[in-house]
Amino acid sequence: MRYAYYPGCAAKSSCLELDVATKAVASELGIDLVELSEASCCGAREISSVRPRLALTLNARTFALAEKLSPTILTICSTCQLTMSQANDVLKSDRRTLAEVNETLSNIGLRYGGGVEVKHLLNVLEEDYGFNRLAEKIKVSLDNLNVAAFYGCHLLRPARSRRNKTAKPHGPMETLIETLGGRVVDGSGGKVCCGFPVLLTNEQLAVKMSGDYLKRLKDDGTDCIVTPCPLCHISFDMYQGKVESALDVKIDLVVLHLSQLIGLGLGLNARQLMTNRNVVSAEALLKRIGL
Amino acid sequence: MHVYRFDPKLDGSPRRVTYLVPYWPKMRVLEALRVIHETHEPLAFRSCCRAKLCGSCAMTLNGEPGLACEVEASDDMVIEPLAGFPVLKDLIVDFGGVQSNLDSLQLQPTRHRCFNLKPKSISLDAIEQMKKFSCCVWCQVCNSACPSFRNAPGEFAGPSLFTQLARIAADPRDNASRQEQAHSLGLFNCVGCFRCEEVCPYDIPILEEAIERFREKCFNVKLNPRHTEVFLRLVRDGGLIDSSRLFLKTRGYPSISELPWAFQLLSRGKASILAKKGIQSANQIRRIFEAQRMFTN
Amino acid sequence: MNVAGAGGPFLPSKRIVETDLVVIGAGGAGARAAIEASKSSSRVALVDKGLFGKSGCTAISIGGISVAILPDDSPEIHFRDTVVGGEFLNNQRLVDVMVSEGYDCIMELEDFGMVFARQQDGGTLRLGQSGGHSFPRVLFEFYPDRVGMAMMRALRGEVIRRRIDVFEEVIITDLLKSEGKVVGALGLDCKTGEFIVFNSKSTVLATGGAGQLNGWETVSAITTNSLQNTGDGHALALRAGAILMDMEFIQYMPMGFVYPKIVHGVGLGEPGFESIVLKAKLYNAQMERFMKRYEPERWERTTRDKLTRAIATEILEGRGTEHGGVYYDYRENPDYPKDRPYRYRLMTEYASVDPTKELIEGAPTWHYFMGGVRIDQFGQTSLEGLFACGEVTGGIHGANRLGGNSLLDTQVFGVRAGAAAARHASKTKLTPPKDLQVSEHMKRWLHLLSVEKGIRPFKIRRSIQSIIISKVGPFRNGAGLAEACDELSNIRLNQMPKLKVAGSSLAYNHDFIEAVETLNMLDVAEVTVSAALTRRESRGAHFRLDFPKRDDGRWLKNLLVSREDAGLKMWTEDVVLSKMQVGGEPTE
Repeated sequence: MRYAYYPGCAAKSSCLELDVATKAVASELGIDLVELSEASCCGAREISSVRPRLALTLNARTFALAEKLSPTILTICSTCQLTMSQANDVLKSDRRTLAEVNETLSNIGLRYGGGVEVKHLLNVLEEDYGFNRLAEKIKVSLDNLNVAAFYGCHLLRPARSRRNKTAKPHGPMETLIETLGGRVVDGSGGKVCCGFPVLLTNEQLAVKMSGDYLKRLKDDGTDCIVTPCPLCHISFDMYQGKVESALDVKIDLVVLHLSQLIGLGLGLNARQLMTNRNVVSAEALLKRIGL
Repeated sequence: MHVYRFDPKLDGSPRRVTYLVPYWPKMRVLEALRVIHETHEPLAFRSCCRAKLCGSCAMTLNGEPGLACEVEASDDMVIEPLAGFPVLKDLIVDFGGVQSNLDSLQLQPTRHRCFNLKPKSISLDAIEQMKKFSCCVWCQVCNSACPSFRNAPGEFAGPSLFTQLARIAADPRDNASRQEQAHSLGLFNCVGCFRCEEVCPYDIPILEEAIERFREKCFNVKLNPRHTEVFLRLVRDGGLIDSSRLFLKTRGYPSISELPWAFQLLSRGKASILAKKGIQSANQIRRIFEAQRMFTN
Repeated sequence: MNVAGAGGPFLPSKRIVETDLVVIGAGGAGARAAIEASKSSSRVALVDKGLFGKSGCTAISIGGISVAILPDDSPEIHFRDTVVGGEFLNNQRLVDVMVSEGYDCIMELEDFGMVFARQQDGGTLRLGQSGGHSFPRVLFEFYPDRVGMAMMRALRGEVIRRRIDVFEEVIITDLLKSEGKVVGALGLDCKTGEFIVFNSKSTVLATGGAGQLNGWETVSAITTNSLQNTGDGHALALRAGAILMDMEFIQYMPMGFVYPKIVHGVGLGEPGFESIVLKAKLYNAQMERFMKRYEPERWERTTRDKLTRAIATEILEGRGTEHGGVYYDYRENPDYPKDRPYRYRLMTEYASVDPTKELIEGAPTWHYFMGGVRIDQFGQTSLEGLFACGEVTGGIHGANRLGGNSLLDTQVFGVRAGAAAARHASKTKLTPPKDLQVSEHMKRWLHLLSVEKGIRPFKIRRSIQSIIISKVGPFRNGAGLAEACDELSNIRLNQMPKLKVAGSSLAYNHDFIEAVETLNMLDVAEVTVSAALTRRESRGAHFRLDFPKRDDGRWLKNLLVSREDAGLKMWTEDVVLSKMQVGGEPTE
């Protein structure tokens, strides 16, 4: 099982722990990741909305680089997954556009042949690796921790581009949590947005969006949120302090990356998963499951 | 079924009443409401066409906004007035706010108003573009699902407004600067969550075809927030985006009140003042930007 | 419940709105009338029973607007088709006006924002063809099955641009008269539960039809009409003493959904139009293309009345399908989802049928009232101060209406009635209604709240509806109609006095709205049944099993009706064949 690994911008800066944890987990599971260290930002919806052709070309370059390594790109960010899947759909279906984009790429000695697929780690585990196989490798149980699954909008919508065929209300993340011994709480995450895209332009709005959700989870007795998207992680974890100030309430809800949660189940330790970088401290939680 | 009841003249606060309703397969909520109205007590709700054409019967059903004539009734369903709007009575809400926003947009082609009896030539491309939004009946289901509209209606007018605006913007007989109107309606407060597209009864590609195309137009006339340009430049220069640099260049340094928070992030390694290196082949990215005629300075 | 005294929990209050014109009904005709009137700086109050643009039939209409546009076509030919289709009962003066002014009037809709479908060159208009028309004439925006919504969007835009006052969710309960003239109307503001007195110099009725009379199925009658179409204008005019005509002629849309119940009656597309434009076919349960038998030359490409009777016969004689209809065959059209996206979704999501692969069942459904308030070519009714336009009027379409002529009628006569009403207002002093008259009306309505052990409106409505659907169908006979008459009388005498409205306030009180509507429906039903009983021949949409032939000798006349203190007065008038004789061609 070999994948062209696309960490994305967040996992290489603020969310370095995600990159490290993912590699640790992959190694433990026997999944071979070849990092696309020269890939650029996918552009998120930021670039694709104002300069669609530019976004297409940047991603086509990434695909061209990946094509040499593996037919499948593995991403660890919901937004990267959507942006790249949509770009790929266009490039694979519209020959003229692909030709035009390749013409630009030829200036830098690259060409995309249309032979790559984009999958999120969650898709890879569900479809390629298999949760049953994962279950066999579990060493530590989550001890009925109350876990809220927060996919991130871009892993669920829009339906027409959705690579991940998440069946509501019980999808792959829920299955994963249960496989790891946790208890799934609150199914409303699929309707909530973490607010990340306006975090820098309208912080008040973003904090209100995530804050109402975090407070409700906390009131309901949730122990931690798990998310497959570092952008959602930034919003819920890095900005949790802001939420607390705005709502004037203590939240103290641990936010784990998907890779970190899986890593815990596989028996990896705090250092390997870099949980010390999580702003809301995961110490108590780790103690509870015996680490 | 559990139905929200509220009569502002009589009730101090809303109440939820449970009714037993005989069921048949594929019964729609509208049919159930009619049964309740006839066999239990009068219920106030709007409807007109009962066949998904007028959008009058928008309500919140089991927490999701939808049309009562479309959504199927289910056991223990919770029926509430459309979330995000002031309740007038029972399931009837006040659309006055969005209506006046809509009307203020003057959604008619702005060309010179003496009419010429010969129909003006309109390209088929323009017609295809207009078609995308022609099914919008401003039912407000999308607005109800939109987190930006719900949390800050004063700052974001809601997806339905942008869809209606997109319909007129696609009309080649219209000269008005619709992107400026879109901008003034809070265009850049959209969080791109796709909830609007998910709930639209007519599957209109609101986010990608209306909202994001307006963003493109706004960017062309430099009506975008600084963040967009910063983002683009960071990608051009380094290939990857460093979160801290994005923050600093968009927002500047943290304010005094934010300092404790900023220090916390710094201490965890989440933020850094030092610039990170980009990818080695960043020149390739630069070439791509040049080919797209972006930032040629 | 004490409603009259001060100190009781409910005090009747009223608001007075003085204006030049009040337009009752904000659909295609009403909105257009308001727009036209505002061109001469009249103050206009445009009143809608529901939400403006989401209430009534225009907003949900399918098909399109018929106008003679092709080079070989002409208003003369359109005139001929309309009068032949109406079996010569049309008011030829009105038809002449409609077809002659149609083009200008409809093109102005493009100014308001409509975009009529175009051919590949982008400039030539694309036209559909409806049954009974000699040429393709039907204009629509993008999709024929959303033309009404597009029209209302455009009209709404213009109404807003002209800053016309729109009163939404106000139901008009009575017309107000003083010294024999109509001086306005009394209505209830559903938002507040308060009465509003519109005191106007001119009043325009634009309330549409009365489709909700036809039976009942879960949420609606079996009709293409919206829930708001309960014959309000017809009844208001009748009660005020205006003359109505042609009330026995009700058109069926030959094919409407038969299942599931919630969409029972919603239009499936006119077979004339669909067979020409989409090569659609009709089959009975035995897979016979039965229209061949009824119309050997035209098959499905004929008028709605003939199609309705053919389909109804097939069903009655046992060749109907499982749900009591006949089959529509669209399977030759893989592009159907693109051409008719709205209806395609209705078919797949509600009826679980994919028309590109399967047959869909349909049966006749109530569609259009040819009859209504009598008007002259300026939209002037028989009452001074009262004008009317659109489906609420009678005489334009004769015994059977051609497709696309209704939307055309709303615009041409909307313009004319609006202009005439504005002219009248400019020459008239505002006369207030008598206080006593207003309070009598209000008391009568408020009383409904305090009836103990009464009958709720929907029950009485159901009785009316079941009489109509069983006895006033595509095939009528004297005995059935006479029975219907008696049964309606019975309702009038024994049930109506017990009408009660549940609830304690009139704000958004559905029962109250239904009470007003039920009273109106009874008025309309009585007139319709009496007229059908009186016309002892068959012509157009009115077919009597006991008088199955058309009888020009005795019945080339319009049946007029008005209500007086003694009861319904009915008389006939010869049709004035001013431009075209039976069997002839239109003259200059």
